Amino acid sequence: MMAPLAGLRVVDLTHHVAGPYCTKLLAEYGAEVIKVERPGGGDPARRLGPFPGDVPHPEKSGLFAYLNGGKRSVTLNLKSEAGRQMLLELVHTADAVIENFAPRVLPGLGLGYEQLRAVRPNLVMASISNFGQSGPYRDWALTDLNALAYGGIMSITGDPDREPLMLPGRQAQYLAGLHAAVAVTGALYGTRLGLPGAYLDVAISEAVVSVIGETIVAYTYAGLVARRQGNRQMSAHPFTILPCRDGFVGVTVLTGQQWQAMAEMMGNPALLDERFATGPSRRRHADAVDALMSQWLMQHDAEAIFHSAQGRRIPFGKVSRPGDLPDDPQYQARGSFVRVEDPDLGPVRLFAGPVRIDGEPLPQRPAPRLGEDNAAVWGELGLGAGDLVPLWAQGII
Amino acid sequence: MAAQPLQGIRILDLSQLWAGPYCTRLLADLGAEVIKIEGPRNPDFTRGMPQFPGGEPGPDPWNRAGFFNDMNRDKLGLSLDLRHPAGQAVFRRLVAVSDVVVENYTPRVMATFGLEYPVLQALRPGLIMISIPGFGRSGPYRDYAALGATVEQVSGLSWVTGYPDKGPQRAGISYGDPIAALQAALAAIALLHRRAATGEGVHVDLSLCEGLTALIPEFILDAEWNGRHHGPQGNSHALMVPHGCFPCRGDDEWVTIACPDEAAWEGLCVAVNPAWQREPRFVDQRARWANREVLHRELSAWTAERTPGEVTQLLQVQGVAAAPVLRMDALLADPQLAERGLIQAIATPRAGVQRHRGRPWLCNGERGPAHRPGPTFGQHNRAVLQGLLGLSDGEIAELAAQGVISDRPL
Repeated sequence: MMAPLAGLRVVDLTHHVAGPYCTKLLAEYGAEVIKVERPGGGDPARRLGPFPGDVPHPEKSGLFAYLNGGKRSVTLNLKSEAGRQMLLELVHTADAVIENFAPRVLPGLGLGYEQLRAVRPNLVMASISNFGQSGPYRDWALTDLNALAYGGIMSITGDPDREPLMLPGRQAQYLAGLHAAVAVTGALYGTRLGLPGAYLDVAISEAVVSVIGETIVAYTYAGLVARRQGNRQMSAHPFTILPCRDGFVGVTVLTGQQWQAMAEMMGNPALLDERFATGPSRRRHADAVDALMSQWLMQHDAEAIFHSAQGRRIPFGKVSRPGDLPDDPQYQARGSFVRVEDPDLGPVRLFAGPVRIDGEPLPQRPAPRLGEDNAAVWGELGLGAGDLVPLWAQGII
Repeated sequence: MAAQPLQGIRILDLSQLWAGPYCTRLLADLGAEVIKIEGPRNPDFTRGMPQFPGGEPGPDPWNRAGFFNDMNRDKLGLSLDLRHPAGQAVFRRLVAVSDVVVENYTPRVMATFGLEYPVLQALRPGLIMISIPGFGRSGPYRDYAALGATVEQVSGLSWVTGYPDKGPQRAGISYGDPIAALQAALAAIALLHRRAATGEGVHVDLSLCEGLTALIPEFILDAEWNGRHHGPQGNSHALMVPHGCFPCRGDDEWVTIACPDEAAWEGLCVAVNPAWQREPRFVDQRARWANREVLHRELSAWTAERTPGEVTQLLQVQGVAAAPVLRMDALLADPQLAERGLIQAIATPRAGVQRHRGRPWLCNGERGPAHRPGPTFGQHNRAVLQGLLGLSDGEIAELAAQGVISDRPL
């Protein structure tokens, strides 16, 4: 199958997580992504673990390997005039530019949208930033923690009687990268049909606000300001996570039929007490309900509980440990983890994403060594070894 | 009005709830025409979710539901019973003039309608179909019931979500849904690119569960490479310190603070306690990490005397990443959000003028063309059946008589 975005060239000025996740997705769909890294250390994400055996190495970052599969790498000092000119020449050959610097950085270097569009009239450019390219918070700092707090997700995650909780890892940045990928591929489709390019402004903060669920309209429609509910739902029970013998399970019951089936599965007629007849009434007696269910849960393992409940069409979930996923039968059946031959890591097993086409995941490839495509990419623009050696000496590449 | 990139693309949306609808809404945001198809006896679940104007369901609550309107703005509404042969026939005629089908039924359902991909592709050779089942269309969990909570648990995300001194905790939103929606929208657009080059269609199988697994790589790799199985992460970060959620003045008021680097730490000291800069216990990142509990306690004592807004202003000016935990009332009143225009007022047919989220990006500095409200049930039956497919008044009446279409849930 022809790769969907084959033939499209993306100049990737991004670093860390949000921008690189966007361009990783473009690379998975077959775009040629040329990652432009700063000379010396390259993308700071090369310094982020995990590393095999906890031995740091610029070409062995697990996070970097995952986020940058399938990209090419050049190095370029954008603060130098020579570097700036080389970037403009590269952009001239490209369909899209993606960047996630703080808003004033690229314009300050004479590399804003207007300057880049001047060398590539139909350019699609996406800037991913904390709060967007405008507004009173434009220059504010923001990490994933802050984005989830500002964007409303933390106000409804966690226990009512203690601090709100973030989602683990880098979720706000992934949300921004995903939204940017949708907007960029959309705008690029437009250029295929003869539409002009576009400048896309994606804010990490807005990506978070965009994925609040019904909580936001509960306020705008009905004036309800939702509060944290802990591991329970406000209106019905059970909709929770509870310990079991060897771990944890998601205990979710939506209908009376499922409740009956669960009571039967647990072999405990006390669960059929009329106090527990409906979701709301079970919510009022949630502690008592949990205590009864726990008697059975603590005598069974997560895997068995999961299949037993699902076999009765009750939507329980086993709480999988991330490290166990490669050995999970569902993930194995779908070929979800694939081996990629990395020049420094060796054969490394990477998660291949949620998409299957004809039963196959999108192709997974190794991340690039820092600057490994300098000769090829700059050579295409007419620079030979005689040019690259002095550029290297001066720190331009 | 400027042309939109997906103008002229027609999408048939059979999905319900959040993942499929947010996917197709994103495609509508790029200009695609989306026909949302609901069964007369199977309206979208979100039409029944209790976010009604002023809390009042009204005489037709299914046309006044906030989350339905939020996820389904800019779509045409067609009622159609796909379990009925006449409904299937109409659907086949729609497929022949459409580009993309999005569905999130459990895997066998489309086949029971006689509408699996090979049948549809024969009607429309370049058809792109996106299926978004909970666990995917294959594998031992294929037919398992997969709510957002279920897939969050199986995906690995729940294991690392929660307070470190407790067990796994559920996220406050059904996070798997919008993630799958974004992945699905991207897949649809990428495959439209391919179709433009090759003319070929394709059936995409996108697992909601795996969409979340894709977002925890560091936890999977640290387990595999170093045997470390991280548990609930709380609000801490592997490297940054301080990094957490701190109590403020007021009822249940909190602020988040993070120092990504030495410069931010210096800024924090200037704002909170310059003496910290001279203390050996905080001299560098390693020392601060070792002493993070006491550092967080001392920082809490400072934040507790101030509102989240005051803390945020005082710290941001020093280059520290700080932001309040905003509840919905404060979020909707936030000046940055207002300036950027993410929230838009839309005149809905049956729920009055309501605020909804607009496009999640600016294009050329603009939030984009005005939005149309989410459809009432079957609102565009006639426009689609007659205007698009050319059915006669008699044929439409016959479908209504058979309950294959309806202007209200049956």
